[in-house]
Amino acid sequence: MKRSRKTLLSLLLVCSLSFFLTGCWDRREINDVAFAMVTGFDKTKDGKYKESLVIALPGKMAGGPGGGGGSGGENPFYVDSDVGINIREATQKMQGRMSRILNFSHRRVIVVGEEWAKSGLTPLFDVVTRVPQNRVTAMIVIADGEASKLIAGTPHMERFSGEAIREIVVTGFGEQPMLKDLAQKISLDGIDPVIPIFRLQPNKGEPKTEEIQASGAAIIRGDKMVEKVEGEEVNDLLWLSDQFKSHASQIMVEGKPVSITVRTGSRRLTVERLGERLVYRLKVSTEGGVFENIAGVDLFTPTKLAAVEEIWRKQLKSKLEKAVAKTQNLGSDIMGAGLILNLANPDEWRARQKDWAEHFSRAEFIIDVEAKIRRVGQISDNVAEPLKEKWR
Amino acid sequence: MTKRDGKDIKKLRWNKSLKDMVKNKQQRRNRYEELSQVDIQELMQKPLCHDLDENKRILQMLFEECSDIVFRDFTIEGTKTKATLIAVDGLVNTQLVDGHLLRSLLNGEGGESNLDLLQERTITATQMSSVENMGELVRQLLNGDTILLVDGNGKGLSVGLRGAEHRGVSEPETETVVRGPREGFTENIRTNTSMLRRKLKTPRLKMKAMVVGRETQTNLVISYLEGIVDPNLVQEVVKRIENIDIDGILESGYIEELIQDDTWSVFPQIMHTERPDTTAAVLLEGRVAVMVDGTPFVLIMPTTLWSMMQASEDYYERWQIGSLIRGLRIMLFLVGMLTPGLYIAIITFHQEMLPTSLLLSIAAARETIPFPAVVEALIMETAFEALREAGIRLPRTIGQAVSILGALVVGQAAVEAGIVSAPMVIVVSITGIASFTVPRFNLAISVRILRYPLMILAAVFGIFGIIIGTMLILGHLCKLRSFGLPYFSPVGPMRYADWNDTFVRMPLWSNEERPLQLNKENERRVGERTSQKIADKGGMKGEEK
Repeated sequence: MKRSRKTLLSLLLVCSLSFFLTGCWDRREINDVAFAMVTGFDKTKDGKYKESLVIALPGKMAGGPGGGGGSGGENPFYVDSDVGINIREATQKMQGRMSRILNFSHRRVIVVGEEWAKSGLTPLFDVVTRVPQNRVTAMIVIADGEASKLIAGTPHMERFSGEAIREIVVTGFGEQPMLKDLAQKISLDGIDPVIPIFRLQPNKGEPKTEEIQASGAAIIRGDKMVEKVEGEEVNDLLWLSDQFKSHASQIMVEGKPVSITVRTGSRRLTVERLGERLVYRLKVSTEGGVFENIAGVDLFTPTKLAAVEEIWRKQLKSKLEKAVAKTQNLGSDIMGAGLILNLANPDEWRARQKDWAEHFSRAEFIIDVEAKIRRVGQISDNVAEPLKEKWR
Repeated sequence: MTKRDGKDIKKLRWNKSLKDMVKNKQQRRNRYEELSQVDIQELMQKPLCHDLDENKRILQMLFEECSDIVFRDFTIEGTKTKATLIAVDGLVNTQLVDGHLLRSLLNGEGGESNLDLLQERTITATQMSSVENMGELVRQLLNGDTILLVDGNGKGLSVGLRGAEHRGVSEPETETVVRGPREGFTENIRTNTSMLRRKLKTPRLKMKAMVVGRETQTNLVISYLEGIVDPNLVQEVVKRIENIDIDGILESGYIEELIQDDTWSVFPQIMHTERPDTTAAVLLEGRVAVMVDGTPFVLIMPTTLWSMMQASEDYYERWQIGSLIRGLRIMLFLVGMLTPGLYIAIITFHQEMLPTSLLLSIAAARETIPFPAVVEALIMETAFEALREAGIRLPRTIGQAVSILGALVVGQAAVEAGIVSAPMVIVVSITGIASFTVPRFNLAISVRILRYPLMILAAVFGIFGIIIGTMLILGHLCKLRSFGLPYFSPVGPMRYADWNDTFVRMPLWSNEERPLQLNKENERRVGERTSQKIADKGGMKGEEK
C-alpha cells in the first residue's frame, strides 16, 4: 500500500507542476471570446484588402439574463471592417478595438466580393486555411457587389446574414460550396466550380429590412469568376455540374402553360469519340410531376400526356444545349469533362491538359434527354369545372 | 472504560484477589475496572465449578451493575437442590421461560438434580445445549438464551427461549421494485437466515456461523451453496473474517471495510443488498453472502463493477426492457461522472466543438455570470450535494421543505440573480439524476467522488485532462480485484461468454452458464432440455399436429 500512496503522491506532484506553466495555459472562457460568424473579403480599388466581420453579441440575444428577449430592435451582432495591405493586418487592426479575442471556429460562411472573385480566388485559400480554428466545411459564396455590404444584411428569419446564406444554399443548391470541395475543384485541372451569388434585397413589405437574396451563380474558370448567371439558367448549370436540385419548370402546351416539378435528375457524361475534336455524350434522365395546370390541358389521355412529355423533353434539351454552349464559350468546364477524359484515357488527357480550355470549347456534346412525367395529379380536371359531357 | 493514564496496570490473578475485592466497595470497583481490562479473557476460560454459589458469585461479579441481567433462585421441586435461572431481561420471552422452564421445575414433574436428566426429561424447549465454561455461558446468555445452573453439576444448561423486540419484515427501502418480492432483510440475523432458507430449500445452502468483535460479539453467518461455490472462495472469506480483531462490529460496513481488497480505492469491492431474492440469486451464481447480526444489509462477494449495474428487476421483467435499461444505466453512469467535466472543458477550451447556435445560447446565458465555468460548476455541485445530504439527514417532514427551498434557491433564483447560468443548472440536474440511476448506492458514491477531480482536471487541461483522468480510472478498475476476481471482468479480462448478461440481459434460457467462471464444475444453470426447446422454436410452443 505504501507504494500506491507514493505513486499517488508523485502523480499529484507532477500534475501540480503544470500550475507553474501559466504561459502555456490556453484556457479562455466562452465570454472572453468574440465569435466571428461571417467574414466578408473584398479588394479595394487601390489594391488593398478589406475584411469585414459579423461578430455575435451573445448579450443581445434572447435567453441571456437581462438580454434581448422581447426587446427586439437591436441586432444580436455588429459588423466591423478594416482595410490592410493583407487580411492579417486588417484583422489585427480590428482586434485592437475589441475587448474579446477574435475566434473563427464558428465562422461557417465566407463571402467573397465580386471584385476579388473576378481577380482570382486562390489567395483566399491561403488566408482561410492558415487559421487553424477555421472550419474546412465553411461555405464560400460570392457577393453581387461588395461582400462587406452583403454580410451587414438583416434577414428576418435568421439571426445573422451568414445563417440565412447557409440555409438558402442548403435548400436551394444541390451541393454546398464548402471550402474543402472548392479548394479541390479549383486546384484540379479539368473541373471548374459553380459558386452561388447573393445580394441584398430590400424588403418590400413590413418592416423594412435588408433580406438576403440568392441571385444566381457564378461560373468560374480556373479560379476566376467569368460570368454571373441568373434565373432558370442557374438550375440548368447546376444540373450540368452534377448538383441537381429539385425545381419547377414551365412548359407551353398548345399555348397553355403547365408547371412541372422536376423531382429527380441524373446526369451521366461519357467520352464518345476521341480525335481532333472530342465528342462527349451527356445522358440526362429526369422525372417530374405536374404541379399546376391552370389552363386545363388534358393530361388524362395517355397519348396527350406523351405529347406533353415530348414538349418538356425538347424544351429541356434545348435549355441544356444552351447551357453547355455557354460554358464552352466561357471555357469553364463545370461539367468536369476534363476529369472524365482523364479517367477514360489518361494519355489523351495529358496531351490536352495544357490548353484544356480550348479543347473543351471545341468539343462536341451530344445530349440525350429522357423525361418522364410520373404524377399528373389525382384529378386530371379542375374540380370546380362543370362536369363534362363524357362523365354524364 | 478508559485506562487510567500512565499507570501500569498490574495483572491480577483472579483467585488471589477475589477476597480483597469484596472488602471495600470503592476499592472493589477500581479493581473491577482493572479486571475488565485485563483479566476478563482469563475469566472467560474458567470452567464452571460444581458449587452453584461460587458460579453465581463470579457471574454477579461480572455483571456488576448490569440491571438488565436477571438472577432467579429457586429449589427444584422434589429435591433439595438449588438452582438459578439467569437471563437478560428483554432478550428472552418471559412467558415461555415461565411456562417451559420454571413451571416444570417448580411443579416437580421430574424431581431431578442432574442437568442431563433434566434436559432429557423435564424441560420442554426445542433449543438446548449444555455450557461448560464461563465464556460460553456469558456468550449464550448475552445472545438471549436463558441459562439454568443447578448446584452440583459443574455445567449449565442454555435454553433458547428468545423473544427480543425487533422490527418486522418490511419492504426494503433502498431497493424498491415494481415487480418482485416486497420483503427485505431485518436487523435480526435469524429472521434473515430463515428468509434465505425459504428461498433456497436445499441442504446445499450452508450457513457458517462466526463471531466477530471483542465487545459486541457480533454474530455473522457466511452463507453459500456448496457444490456451486468455489471452496477456495469460502475459505478466503473465512480467513479474512478470522483476521478481524476489533472491539465492535455495528454494521456490515465494518466487515466490508476490514476485508476488502483495496482500502484506498473509491470503488466498492463488496456489494450489499437488503433483498433476500438478490442474495439467493448471487448464491446461485456461486458467490458468497455474509450476513451480520444487527443490520439488514448483507454483504456479497466477490463483486464486479458490472454486477453492480444490475438490479433484481432486470430479471423479473421482460428481457428486452432489462437490456435497454441496463444500457441506459451504463450510459448514465458515464454521464454522471463526466458531464460536468466535459461541460467545463468545452466551455473553457474547446468552443469549436459545440454547434454554433448552442454555443451562442450558452454564451448568452453566461454573459452576466461573474465566475469562470469551473467555479460555477463547483458551487452548483456542492450546493446539490448539500441539498441531498440535508434531505437524507433531516426528519422526513422537514426534508420536503428543504427540497422546495433547494429547488427554488439553487434552480430559479440563482439563475435569475445571474450567479449561475441556466445551462449549468441543467448540467448539474442531469448529473444528479444520472447518479441516482446507478442501482447500488455505494457505486453512486464513487461516481460522485470522481466527478470532482475530473472537473478540476477539465478546468486545468480541458478534454485532455478528462482523457487522462478517465484513463487513470480505467487503469485502476482493471487493476482492482474483489476476492481474486478482476473487478472489471468480464470486460477487463475479456470473456465474451458473460456478455449476454453484462451490457444486455439476454433471455434466461440463453444464459446457460454461471457467470465469471465462479465455478468450473457445476457451470450449467439452465438445463439443456429447456434451452434447446425454446431455442428451437423461439418459445415453448405447443406440439404441432
